[in-house]
Amino acid sequence: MSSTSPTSSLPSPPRALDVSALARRCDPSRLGFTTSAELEPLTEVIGQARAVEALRFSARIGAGVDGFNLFVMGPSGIGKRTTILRLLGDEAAKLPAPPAWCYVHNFDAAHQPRAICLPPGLAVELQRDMRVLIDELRAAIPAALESQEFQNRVGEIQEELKERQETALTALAAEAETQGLRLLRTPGGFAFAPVTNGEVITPEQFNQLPEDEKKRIQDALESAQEKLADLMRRVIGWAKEGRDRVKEAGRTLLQSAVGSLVDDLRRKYADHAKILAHFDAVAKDILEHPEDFRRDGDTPPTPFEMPMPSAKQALARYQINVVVDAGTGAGAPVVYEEHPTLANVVGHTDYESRFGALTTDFTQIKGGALHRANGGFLVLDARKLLMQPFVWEALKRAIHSREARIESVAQMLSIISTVAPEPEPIPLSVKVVLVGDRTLYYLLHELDPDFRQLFKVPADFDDCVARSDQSEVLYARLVATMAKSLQLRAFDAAAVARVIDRAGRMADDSLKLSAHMGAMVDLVREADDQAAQRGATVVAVADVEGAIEARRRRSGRIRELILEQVSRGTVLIDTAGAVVGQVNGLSVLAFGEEMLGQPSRITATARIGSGDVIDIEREVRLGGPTHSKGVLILSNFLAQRYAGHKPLALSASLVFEQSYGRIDGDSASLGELCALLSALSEAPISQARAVTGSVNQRGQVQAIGGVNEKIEGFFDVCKQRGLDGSHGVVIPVSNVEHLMLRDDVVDAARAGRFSVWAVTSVDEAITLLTDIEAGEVGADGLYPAASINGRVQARLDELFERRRALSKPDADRSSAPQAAPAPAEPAPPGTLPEPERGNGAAAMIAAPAADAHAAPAAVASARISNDTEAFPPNLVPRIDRA
Amino acid sequence: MKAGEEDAARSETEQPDGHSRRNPHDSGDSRIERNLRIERILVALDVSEHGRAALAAAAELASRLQAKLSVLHVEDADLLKLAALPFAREIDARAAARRLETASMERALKAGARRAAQTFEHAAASWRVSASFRIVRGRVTQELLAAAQSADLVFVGRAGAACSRRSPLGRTARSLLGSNSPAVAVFSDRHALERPIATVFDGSEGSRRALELAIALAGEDHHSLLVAIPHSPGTSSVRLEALAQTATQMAAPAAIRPRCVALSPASVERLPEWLHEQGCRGLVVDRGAALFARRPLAATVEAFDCPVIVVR
Repeated sequence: MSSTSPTSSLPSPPRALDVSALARRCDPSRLGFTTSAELEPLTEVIGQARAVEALRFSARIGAGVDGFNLFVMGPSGIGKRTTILRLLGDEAAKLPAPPAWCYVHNFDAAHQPRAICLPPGLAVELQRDMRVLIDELRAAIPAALESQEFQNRVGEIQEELKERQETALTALAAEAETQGLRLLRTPGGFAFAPVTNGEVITPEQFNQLPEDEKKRIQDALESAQEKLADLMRRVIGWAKEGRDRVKEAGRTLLQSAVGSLVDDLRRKYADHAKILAHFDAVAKDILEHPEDFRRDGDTPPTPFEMPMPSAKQALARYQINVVVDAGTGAGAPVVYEEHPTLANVVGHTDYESRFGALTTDFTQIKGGALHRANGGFLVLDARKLLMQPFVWEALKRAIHSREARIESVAQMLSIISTVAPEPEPIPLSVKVVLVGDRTLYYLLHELDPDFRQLFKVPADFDDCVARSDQSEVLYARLVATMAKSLQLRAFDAAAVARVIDRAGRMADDSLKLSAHMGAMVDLVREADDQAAQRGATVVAVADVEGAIEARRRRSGRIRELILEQVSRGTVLIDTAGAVVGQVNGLSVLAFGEEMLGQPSRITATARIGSGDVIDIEREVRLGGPTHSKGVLILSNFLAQRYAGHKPLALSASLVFEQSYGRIDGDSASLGELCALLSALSEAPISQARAVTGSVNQRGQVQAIGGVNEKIEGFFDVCKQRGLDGSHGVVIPVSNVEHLMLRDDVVDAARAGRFSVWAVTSVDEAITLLTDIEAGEVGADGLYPAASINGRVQARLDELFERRRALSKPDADRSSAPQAAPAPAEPAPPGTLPEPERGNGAAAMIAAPAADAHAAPAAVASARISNDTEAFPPNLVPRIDRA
Repeated sequence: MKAGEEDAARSETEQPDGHSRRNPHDSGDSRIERNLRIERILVALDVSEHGRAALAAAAELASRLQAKLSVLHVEDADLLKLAALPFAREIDARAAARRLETASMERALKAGARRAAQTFEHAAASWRVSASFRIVRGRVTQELLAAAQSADLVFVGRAGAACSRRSPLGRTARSLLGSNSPAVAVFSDRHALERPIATVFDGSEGSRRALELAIALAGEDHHSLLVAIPHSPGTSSVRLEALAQTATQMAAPAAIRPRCVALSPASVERLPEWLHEQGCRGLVVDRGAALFARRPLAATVEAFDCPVIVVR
């Protein structure tokens, strides 16, 4: 490789771009205000018409229609959640307030609490009414049961039963006396003893009795004992009868007291049959268990001194557990669940530990976000949701069955073996809105069949909005709204214009503005801080620029490191002179949110061979598939243009010098092709210029990503060494619209010290880089001999002849023509090993146009993949080429 | 008969010098004490609830009369005899029959005695009377009658200890009322000694003793004592007034003004009901009173469902 000066003649190369094309600047005077304080706050959403329409459609179609739930997708930070909460709030306000739901005790099956639906606001009122009722009964029932009247009645019943028992015992004792038996009270009950002469007979006396007498006594004893047993059985029955009569007396006594209080409530809730049925059950239960209304402290003794539930606990079954009651007049609910665990979404049941056992009842049932959002909208973060176990399946079940059923993980996994309530499911009518990034949407769509059925409406938020005079004004109002809502200083028109310019730069497009509201809020806040630092009352353009520069400084460690390495010669980058087979390529490095342009030296060598263009990055497995694709394309371009009728007798190699990491993207293919053409033509390339762009097989230059960062990366290196007017960057024409360069770059261009050229073909690029005409093919298929193409053609011809001369003896030695395939036959003269080239699976996966700016906003992360390996291909949406 | 006597448990209120502490609520009339000579009250204690109620009532009476209390627990020998019979069966409250055995009966009686002792000790801790506890084995009625010989007043439950808890009048009570025993107090577990107290005063010596005891029990309340003076068609009003005057004079030292009421023969026939109508809550009566010729003492006591003290 030799280093020479560029030739003198310059055959009409593309002229450097006009300064106006390097960046689009917002004109503050056209915004029509002095400071942002004059602007009306912005209520509409800028440039998200597609997403807004989807959102409104989903809201309009109603929760009753299956599956028209919403997945709101888009990159994080563009304000999806804020936007949808605001829009859904507007829609929800037009809808009626949903009914209230409460759980009540099921007196027939305690573990299956009943759900009752009530008009909004009434559940809370019912809860209050029941509390008052129970409080009143807690006073009335003990008073009634302790009344003299009732005690007399109880005493009367007990006395009657005692007398009945005494009379029967006395009669039995008297009857036994006639048979010579005496009824004795024993430690454990009663017994009959035979007596003689008033004394209980001894065994000796008994044995001396005649057999007849013995038998008579024994028969009499058996008969008396049977009668006694029978009496004791009757006594047991009488005792039960006594208890029943006391209970019935209590019931009769309390009937009127309980009945009158419950009747008051019954009249109030006369229109609600389920409530009336519950009142009936409550009244019946109260009359069945008046003892539960004992006074505090009147705790009956229990076996083993186990504590009894307090009176309050015993009466808990009469409570009303309001699961949801948002009241009236608030419209439908819009609920955003920040922490979407299973318990928080579908509800849960709390447990209480009592003596080592976990207990619960219907009062411990807690509703989830589904209950709160019933009748309205439930907004959930898809990523958070999917990170929580069980909740995704539970949510789908709820949407599918249209029932809010409270499930617990512990129950599902049988962790807790205690009896848990099975609350009656509540009918569900909710519109679920998932918010997430696009990758999640595509993954769910691909992998979860239910998802497609349940979330039919995607609301795709754009990364950017179209830039126009109108949208710039709207953007200005957005900045004003941010400043007001964040209680920041007002921005003057120039500062607002600068923020808009920054939005344009973030979009990497002069025709777009970034929709990344999070980043814009950060910028506005930081600019306000800059103004505060200098004690200003209004944020000026210098503050915005200061904020941008401060941020650049904060994240500038790597950029400075690169510049230092270049300046110290650690990384070899020439910015002056001309070298054969060597070109300054440009790559982009992504560090978090920051993207950084970096010049890289690309070199090419050419020698005689069998049509191989060796991509060294590929050989050492540092090159990604897109990069390899670019190299293969340029190989085919060479073969097609210069060796159409004969084999390409070339062995060339391409390498990114001093590149030690993985590289991907085809933006270097133009640079690589130029380096290769330089090596073949031995025309030196100007090192004051850098080149970026991809080429197709016809030599046309195509758009790449990160054009601004790349230009600025080379500019920074040149500026460090001193700009002399020779420096500049060659870019594809189709990237001109994306130029949003820094002010210092634009200023240098304006001063004639730095240039940007836009090319449409490799011929234009090589002409610019070598200052030698590329040359057009003549009618005879030959290029002018002095042109680059002519020199390349001549070189390839020479190589072909040499190769033919070298291969002739071999051909003579071998009479079999099929032994050596024709060099032109094996299609692409690339380096892909055979198995990889035939990899059908790879063909099914196609990365989005990573380098192509034809769809720059398609996938934001695609730009990152330009020259770095940013994400694995299996996370990219699958596109069937058929 | 083997008497299983144990060391008597002494109430904490008994003084070291052997004298009992005086009850501040008592009338302090030493004459009454001297004439009645009720210095030792005997009460039978079984392990039932009824027994505990009787013990409490007896202690209260002893306190009022400043008497010593002798508590007797009888281990029923009839039960042992019964248990020795091969065919003896016990029917419990669940109507289940169970074979009785001597060994288990012995254990049950011992356990009963232990519980009775515990009951006594527990109750005696709160008394302000001198009290002793004794356990004997034998027939309940006979042992009580035997022990009654050394007592001035025998306290007996209305229901018999050996039979049901609420038989109209137990065998023991009947036996004591019919025997030559000293004064007998018949109580039930439902009624403690309350006022007003009634007595029947006909001027006889026995009725005079009854009146003296009634005065002692009535306390200082003017309306706490009712003196029923029987009269027949031949009784002159002068005689009635004289008796009333006598009663009033007897009560005067105790600062009591009794309500004296004439008791007609018809009322004697239905004395328990008449006493109820008069609002009386207790009766002190002479065993030999003439009125019991018309209605037997046991029947009267049985029909009057309040404490009755029969003096002789």
